[in-house]
Amino acid sequence: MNKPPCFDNIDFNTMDPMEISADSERTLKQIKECVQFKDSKGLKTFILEHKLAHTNIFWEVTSELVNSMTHENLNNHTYFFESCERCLNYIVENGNPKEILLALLEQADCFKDDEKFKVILSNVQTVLLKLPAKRHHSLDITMETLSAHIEALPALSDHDLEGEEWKLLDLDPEVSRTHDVVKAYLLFLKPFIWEVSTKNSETDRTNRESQIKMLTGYLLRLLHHPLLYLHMRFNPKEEAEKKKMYGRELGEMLIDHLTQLCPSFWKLIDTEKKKHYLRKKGKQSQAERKRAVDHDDIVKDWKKHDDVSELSLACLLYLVLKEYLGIDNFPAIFTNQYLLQYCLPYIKLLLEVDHSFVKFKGLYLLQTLVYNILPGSLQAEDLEQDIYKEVLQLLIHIDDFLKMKNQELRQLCVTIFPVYVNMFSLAGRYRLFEIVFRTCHHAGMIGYTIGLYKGEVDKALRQDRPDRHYVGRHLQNILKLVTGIPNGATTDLLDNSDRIFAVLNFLRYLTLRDAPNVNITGIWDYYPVIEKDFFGPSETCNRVVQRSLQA
Amino acid sequence: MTQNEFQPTDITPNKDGGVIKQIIKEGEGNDSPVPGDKVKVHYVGTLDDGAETQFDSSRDRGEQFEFDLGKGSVIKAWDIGVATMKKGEIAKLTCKPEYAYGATGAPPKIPANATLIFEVELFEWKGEDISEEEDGSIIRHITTKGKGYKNPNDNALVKIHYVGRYKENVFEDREVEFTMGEGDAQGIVEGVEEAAKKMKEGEKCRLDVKAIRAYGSQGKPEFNIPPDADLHYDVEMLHFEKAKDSWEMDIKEKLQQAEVSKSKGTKYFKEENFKLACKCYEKVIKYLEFETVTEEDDKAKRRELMLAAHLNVAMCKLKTKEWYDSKKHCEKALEFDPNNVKGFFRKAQAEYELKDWKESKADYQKVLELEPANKAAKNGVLKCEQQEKKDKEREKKLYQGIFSKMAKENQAKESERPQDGFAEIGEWDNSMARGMLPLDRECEAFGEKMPERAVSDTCANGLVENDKQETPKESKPEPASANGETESKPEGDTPV
Repeated sequence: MNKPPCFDNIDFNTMDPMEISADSERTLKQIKECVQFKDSKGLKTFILEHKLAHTNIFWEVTSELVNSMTHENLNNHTYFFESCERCLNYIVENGNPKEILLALLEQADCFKDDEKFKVILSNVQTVLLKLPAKRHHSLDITMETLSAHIEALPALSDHDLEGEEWKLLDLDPEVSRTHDVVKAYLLFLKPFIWEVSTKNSETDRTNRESQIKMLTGYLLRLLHHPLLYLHMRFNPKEEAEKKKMYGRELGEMLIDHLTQLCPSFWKLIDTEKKKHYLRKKGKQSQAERKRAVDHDDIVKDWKKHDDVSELSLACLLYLVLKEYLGIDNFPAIFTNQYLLQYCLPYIKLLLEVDHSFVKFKGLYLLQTLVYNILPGSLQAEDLEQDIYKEVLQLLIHIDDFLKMKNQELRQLCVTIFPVYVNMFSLAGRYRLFEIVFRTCHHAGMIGYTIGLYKGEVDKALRQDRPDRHYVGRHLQNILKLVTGIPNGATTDLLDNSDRIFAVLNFLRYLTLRDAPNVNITGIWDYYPVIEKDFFGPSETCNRVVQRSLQA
Repeated sequence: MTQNEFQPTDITPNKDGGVIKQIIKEGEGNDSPVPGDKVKVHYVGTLDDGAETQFDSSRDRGEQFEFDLGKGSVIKAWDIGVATMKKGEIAKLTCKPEYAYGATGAPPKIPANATLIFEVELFEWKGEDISEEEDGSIIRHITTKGKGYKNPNDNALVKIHYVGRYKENVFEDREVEFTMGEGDAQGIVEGVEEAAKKMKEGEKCRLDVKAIRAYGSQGKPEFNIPPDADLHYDVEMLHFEKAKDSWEMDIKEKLQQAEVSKSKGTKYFKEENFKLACKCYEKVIKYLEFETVTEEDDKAKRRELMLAAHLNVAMCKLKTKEWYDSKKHCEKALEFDPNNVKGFFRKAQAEYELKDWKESKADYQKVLELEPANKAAKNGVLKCEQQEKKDKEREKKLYQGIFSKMAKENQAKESERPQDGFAEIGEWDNSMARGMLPLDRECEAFGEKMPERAVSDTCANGLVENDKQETPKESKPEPASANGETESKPEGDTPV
């Protein structure tokens, strides 16, 4: 309620303007002194007891008070902090909302003290709610300023946690700070989201579209920084009793907000996706740039919340499709195959980020989607969409994962890889194998893939008429790719051992399974080549090694 | 109308009872959407589990659901079912798992092997927009479905038959073979080529192509097509042969293909088909971009090709006035050769057009560091300085405006002053032109065309005139060499 200030002790009507001014100056000076000496009693006397009525100094008093409400004061001078809080409440209650808003925001421009930021948040909220309904621009300015504080939060470091270590993540001061600040920010947003919420029957959403868009934009930005780098997994069945991790808690709050703003996440993501596509194509962007030149300052301001990163969308897809948060706002009518294809570009983005929590998100999302697809349901022609090959490349380039020495990530890749390959028809699988053998240089990965190919050959040979991709010319093509010894006799056998053993194993299988007089696989026609290109050089290699060992 | 008229019917092609449709409310007219159309519906989905558990509803979300029909984006039962509906119709579709989510289900909402019941209301639909920008510039209506899954890829050899219509008149009716991505060379408009990329063998379709994807603001006089005319085409995909995908090639093949693309690009460049040339050069980059090469010879070759490709793309982009992209490619080129004169020069040109005078100037100066005698770069630096000065002037004027009184006085004075053409130049000083080449020589040095001169000895600007007086020798080029130079393409403007 907006109470008019009570001016008991001063009668402005009878005072000379000069006198008022002098009186204000005096009061301000006294307040400043109180603040300086952390004199809680004095402060309360001047502001609360005397019911401070010099509205002309409210701005400065606000600045003084907010500046004292720091983390340090909260810890070491709690009583003083509380006094400031009460005084500020009085000012916010009795001052001109627009003026106080600007005074508060002015103090929000340094990104160091979170306590101060939280004080500002709650007071700005009060002031904004007091402002009349048409305050879009004020809210816009506020969001711009406040989100800057969030953006200034340092990037969360990748601790490369193994096994159960992720449970310790919340002990990281960076993480708990992020949680603290983002949570306050989300709570701050709550009433403004309610004003345009789908659950609020009193609101007129069509007229407040700009507010919906703006808030959506800021929420999406949070998904990229900092939520993407937090742990957000939660298994309701296994962990029902346990406290949720900070990341998860924020994720749930954010999605709850988002569901109130956007009835369909699908439409939200798809619209943003198209914008990105156009931006990438550069067609739109040329026009945009032209506009930017024409109306330099205006466009810049509006652009900000319009710019949602693709990683934000990737994180949203992860939360919806893997963590099932806000799943009711996502249509349950798309085929699993289509969803996978739709998400692959985002999975690719996640896998490319050099941060284990982000990579995990990509892999978990991929795993969920891939497991929903029956083996053999994708055709070789689907591989014409490069994205299938690109994600495969990321999966098989374990070297990069190894650099981070995260065994779990590596294992997850190795679990997903065969399922990924099996989604395709026999012809498709053959092409994927071929791609791996042509592009991958990691002996372990090649060895593993040879094992998978061997499995397919074995299955094919059990049929009356084996699929042509696993015998004859195609088989020879694969053998040619895997039996090559890249550097001839100078090859380091140890480096290539995984591959060489897998090849030997495969050849052994073929020669035992397919007798020379049957020769259904055609291996015996190709045998002389293998002898010359593979056995020959490997033997030489072996002899060189033996000799050097003897010497 | 009584309920009895709407009996449940099996609408699957092979009558296996997989999708049973029962009309609840009849729609209007006889038309139904065809595959590819974008349709808008409301729906409520429930499980056939006895309890009729609702798992999804667009009505609850308060937003119609839009999807592409017949593309496999939604469950099979819908692609079949919605295609039988009329505008305004409400129907109940009972979908067996084989036509829905099958044995895997769709966690967390739909269990394995679940039969689903949908109540669907069809509102409207429109033709399939196959333009990349989705701006409605190419709308396709498939009249005959094609065979198989394959679409032609880039570089595929494609044979199509098409009939082009403007209003009622047929202006083109021909069978043509072309390389995908280079249709322009065969006179195929962008809209048709774009559509061909998405067609399957044997497919026939009708296209509504907007002018921007056809003959644009120029029109096509030989076909009697005026500017900004929207056209209609009937296209049939007769046959295509796919090109080898780049992952199927080894590095030697890729280098070879890149070489081929590069020379194709140069050919198109000479024909002044800059868009196509650019596409060819971009292919070079695509072939080699992510290729790691081990052999030293190949390494050098790759580097050389990538450098040339980026430089050439940059130039094509200058020609097509896509300054920003041009700049990007120059930057890429400079990654391959940090002291590339052309790289800096083209970058400077692009930056100039982007109005980044400062950066442009710095790059021109870089050119001069590498090639102190480069006249065009010298001129570039001057041009930038001139622009910077202009900007300052403008700023000054702006501030002056604040003091309205003064501004008014100035205006009065200015209007009295005779217009001498110098006002625009700012504080231009003829002494700055000392040591510079006349304009025609500068143009020749970097292959820009000389503006046509009405009178032979009138100079294009005061600058050269002044120069002429000071260094008469330089201003009069030898007639023979001048002729020779204008005919042959000077070095700065030819593909590498």
